[in-house]
Formats: sequence, structure tokens, C-alpha cells
Amino acid sequence: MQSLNIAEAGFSYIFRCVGYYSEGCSYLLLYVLSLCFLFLKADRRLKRVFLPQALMLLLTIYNPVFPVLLNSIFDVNKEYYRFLWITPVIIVTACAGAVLVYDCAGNAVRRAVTTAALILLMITAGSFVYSGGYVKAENIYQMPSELLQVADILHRDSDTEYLRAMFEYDYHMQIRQYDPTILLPCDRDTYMEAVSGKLDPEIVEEEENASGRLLEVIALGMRIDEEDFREALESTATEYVVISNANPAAVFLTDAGLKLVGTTAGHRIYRYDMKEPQVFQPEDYSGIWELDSANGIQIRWPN
Amino acid sequence: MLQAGIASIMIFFNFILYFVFGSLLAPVSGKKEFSVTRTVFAGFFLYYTVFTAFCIPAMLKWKPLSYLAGIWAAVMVAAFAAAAALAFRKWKAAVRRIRKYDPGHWGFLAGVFILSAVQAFIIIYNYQFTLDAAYYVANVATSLQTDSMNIYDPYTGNWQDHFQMRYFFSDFSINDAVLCSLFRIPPLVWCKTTMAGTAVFLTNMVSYMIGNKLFGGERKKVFLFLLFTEIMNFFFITIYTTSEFLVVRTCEGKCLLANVVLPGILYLYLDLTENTRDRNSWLLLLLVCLGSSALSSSSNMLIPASIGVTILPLAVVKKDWRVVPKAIGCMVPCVLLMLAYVAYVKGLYVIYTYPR
Repeated sequence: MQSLNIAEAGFSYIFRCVGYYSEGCSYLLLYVLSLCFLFLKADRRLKRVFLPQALMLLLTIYNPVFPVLLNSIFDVNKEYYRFLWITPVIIVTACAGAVLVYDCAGNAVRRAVTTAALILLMITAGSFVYSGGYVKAENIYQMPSELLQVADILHRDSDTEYLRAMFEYDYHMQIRQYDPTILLPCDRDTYMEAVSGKLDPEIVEEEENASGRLLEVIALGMRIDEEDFREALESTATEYVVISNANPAAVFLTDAGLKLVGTTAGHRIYRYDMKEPQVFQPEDYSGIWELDSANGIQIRWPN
Repeated sequence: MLQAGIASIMIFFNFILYFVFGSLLAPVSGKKEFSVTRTVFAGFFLYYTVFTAFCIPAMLKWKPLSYLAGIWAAVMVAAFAAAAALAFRKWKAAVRRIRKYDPGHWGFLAGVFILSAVQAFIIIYNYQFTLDAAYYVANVATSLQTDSMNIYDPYTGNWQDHFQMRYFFSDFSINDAVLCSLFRIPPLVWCKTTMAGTAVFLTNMVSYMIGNKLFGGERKKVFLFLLFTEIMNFFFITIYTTSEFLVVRTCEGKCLLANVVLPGILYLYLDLTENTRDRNSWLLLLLVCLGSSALSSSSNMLIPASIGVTILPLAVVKKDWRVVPKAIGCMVPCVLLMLAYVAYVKGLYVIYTYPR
């Protein structure tokens, strides 16, 4: 939960956290209702299973003081929501459903009707994972087929096994899962900061931030000084730029001297001829493997 | 099609592997009846515990992935041989018992399997864009490509001068890389088909085990319970929920943490309510704590919390205070790893990826 801060929200954090956790989904309410039902209708054994845990959850994880206290020891801002995973929402609700159908509903017809009503409740109380449409994977790699074509074009054009390329957001996040010989000029978090509006052009300029300059052009569609862009490509050893047809940077890339070396249905692949080509090779550890293993571990302890 | 077939077969290979590792515990299973699902459950955690014990020393000495793959192949073969020697009688007894199942029970098991298979197919056949795969799957691909372990940044491919401790002890993706290397399966196929399918079947297996405990093996109730859990997993969706991790982020270790480990602790709680002194259940809980650190570093925070919330109330419910030191003892490995990570974040130590 990037947008929530325990120090700022204080004791109200847990309520807001639960709000984000179950946004548009009433399953936590179903969990509470199921617990109440089990308390009233289930046998002693089932009550003993879920009620003590629920009470403990209320006293700890859902206690407004707990996240504040925990955050004073460890930074749990981004990950506190994972404590809510301990709540067995689905298990308790399904258990209550099965008890309701088989112990309370009576004959077969009433059981069938109750089951159908419960399924309807489960559907309406939640939000369907494929509500935006079920997208079939295009291939066994579960990657866009066009991304595979792009990787192929890059390798056919490049003389080296490893190459470095700048992509738009979605391909940037996916390309190295498919092809680890394609290196990237910036990491995931830097890219995410740029597309979420946290990249300040003034700071990029001031710090001569090379990957920031590439992001300005490719991710944000900005037009910067062409020489600065070429310098950014040189300093990050980025030979290739891949953009979608809809990206307005196409004209800029041509103006900056990049050559179009290939196209797919939706993407253009540009090459920059480096002044000083840098060939990436993985570090050679073969000599190190021969070392005395006892001296091999390198841990720096505090002075 | 061939790759899809091989990837699907490997799901069953994973289950056989976990069963074999779980069978190694047969001599310490006490008087408990040999259960296939419980053996797979135990084996899954023993597998990752043993893998971590081999992986971390190899990483500390910057050994290549292929070196670990060779060792791990030998360990798997040895585990198969040892399990056959230790548990063969129990396997035979289990087969005899299974043969005696009535047609109704076979129908029930087939129904449970079909439910899981349909869910797995829907999940695997769907295209999902997830950001964290940029690390996890890319780490498998990078480790294979460079024949190294956690030395290169999966996001960029750049060499790192020190290990990222967030991922150092959670070697789930290194295990994926080792198996990809041994079976010559592309990382994306392994992660997004084999491991995703494995995660779905494991999740349903644990739900089945819980359902069996809750309803004392009443088949109709257990089946309805499973049907409800599967339906809800498609609807309990926000970007934070356990179901989101099961349906969308299935190939990540966190999916297993949310959907196998935490419900697994609840299952062990159910087991312990029957007998708080059951050594086998306590041993299993300790194994869960040891093995789950390999799945995700979040385990080190969530497992102690889950034990605190789920297992500690047993002391009151069953009026047996000896539960408390045992439960705290199980938390120790996770707490130690969490402290190791905090010390790294505070800058107290760094583990370099090269000799200095």
C-alpha cells in the first residue's frame, strides 16, 4: 500500500488499510457474518476452531495500536496488509456455507436452493477477477507474441550476444522474463516512479541523470535536447530503443540520429550507433571457484 | 503443445517429489496413519528446507547455478532411494487402503481433482501482466543465462557488487532455475505453467485437508466446502488479497505463502486441537517455519504472527501451557532471518558477490 503511511495515519491506519484491502469487495463482512453464524449454529468443535483465532486477530492485527507499534520497530508501511492474509476469510465463509446447506437447510431441494443462493451471494459480494474480460495467453510463454518478434529482430540486428535496449513500460517489465540477454538501462522502480509522475525534469537536468533522460523521452513523451539524449544512450550503453506506433517519440528519435532497423505490427525498433561500443560480458568467476572455499565468503561487519 | 504437455506433466513430477521428501519423515510419523496429502504437505516444506541448506552455502561461495543443479540432482536421486527404503511398507499399506475405496469415494476424489484442474486451467491459460514477475521470473531467466545465483540484477541484467538480502534467503526462484536447468524447460514455461499449476493444486490440497478435518471426512460437505472456496477465489479480488495472489500472481512465492503456508498453519492448529502433544504435528509446524522462508521473505514476518494468532490460543482452549514454548520455538528460525534482514537494512553488514 504505497499511498498509506502509518506515521501519518496513526491509529486510523488499520481502518484505512482494511478499506484498501477489501475495496469494492464485501468478503470481510461475509467473514464476520460467517463467524456469527458458526457461533450460533455450529457444534462446539467448530466454534473452538475459528472463534479464538478471530478474537486474537481482533486484539492484534486489527488492533489500531498494533501497526503503529510494529512500525516503530520495523518499516511495515508497504507490507502491513499482508498480515490481513492470516484472516481465513475464504475458509471460514466456505465452512459456514457448507454447515448452512447440510445442517440447516433441510431436504434436497432446499439444500440446492440454499447452495445457489450462497453462490449468488459470493458472486455479488465480490469483484470478479476477469470483470475486464478474460484474455487468453497468446503462447506458452504467456507473453505478447509481438514481444517475441521484437526480441528476435533485436538479436538479428545486433552483433553481440548481449544488447541493451530501452522499452516502453509494459515491454520493459516483461522482456527480461523472456530474454535475459536483453539488458535494460533502468530498473523497475525507477521506471514506475517516472510513469507515476515522480520524475522531476529539473532534477534530471541538474544531476545529468542518463536513465532519467531516456525515460523523459520514451515513457513521458517529452522532447529534450538531442545531444543530451545521445549522451544518455552512450553513458547507459543503450544501443536500441523500442517504441509502440502510438508513441510520439518516433520523430524525435529520427531527429536524434537513430535508425529504424525493424518494425512489427505495433512497434518500431531503432538503433543508435554508439561512438564507443561497449560489449557486455558476464563476470568471469571461474578463477574464484578455484579459491580456497574457506576464504570465499565475504561479509563486511560494522567497524 | 509439446512444451505445454511437458510443463503439465512436471506439475505431477513436483507432487511426486514432495511426496518422496515427505516420505523421508515416515520413521518419525509415530502411530499416525500414512496419509498421501499430509506426506505431500510435509514434503513440500522439507524439500525447500533441504534446498535452502544446499543453496545458501553455494551462493556464499559464488558457485555457478550448474554446480548447485548437479548437487541437487544427486540429492533428489538420494531422496528417492532413501524414501523407498524408509517408507516402502507404508506406501504399500497406503496403496492397499486406497484400493479398498468404494466407488462413491473415487467419484468424490475425481470431483475434487476436476475442480482443481479446471481452476488451474483457467488461471494458467489467462494472460496476466504483473509487475513483480519482472523480478521473480526474470531472476530465474537471468540465473540460467549467466549460470549464477542472485549475482545479477534481474531488473536490468547488471552485475551487483553485493547480494540483495531481501531475496538471499528466499531462494524459491533459484530452485525454479535449478529445475529449469535440469529439465531443460524455459523459465517462463516453468514458472507460469508448472509452478502456477503446482500452486493451484497445492492450495486445493490444503483446502481439502482442512475440509476433511472440519467435517470429519463427510464427503458431501467437504466437496461443497471446496466448491465454495474455488468460487470465492475468483471473486475475493483486490490487488492485495490472497485470492489475487492465487489467481493473478500464481507463479510467485508469495502466492504459496498466502494460500498454502498460512492455511497450512490453520490445518496444523486443527490437528493440534485433537492432541496438543502430537510430536508429528509440532515437527510439521517447525518444518513449515523452516521451509516457508525459502518461498518469500515476507514469511519471516507473517509466520510468527500467524503462529501467535492461530496456535497460541490452543494454550487457553486446551488448557495446556506447554503449547507456548513449543510455538515460540517454531517461530525462532523466522525471527532470526527477519533480524538478519533488518540488520542488513540498517547497514550492519553486506555480503559481497566477489572476493575483496
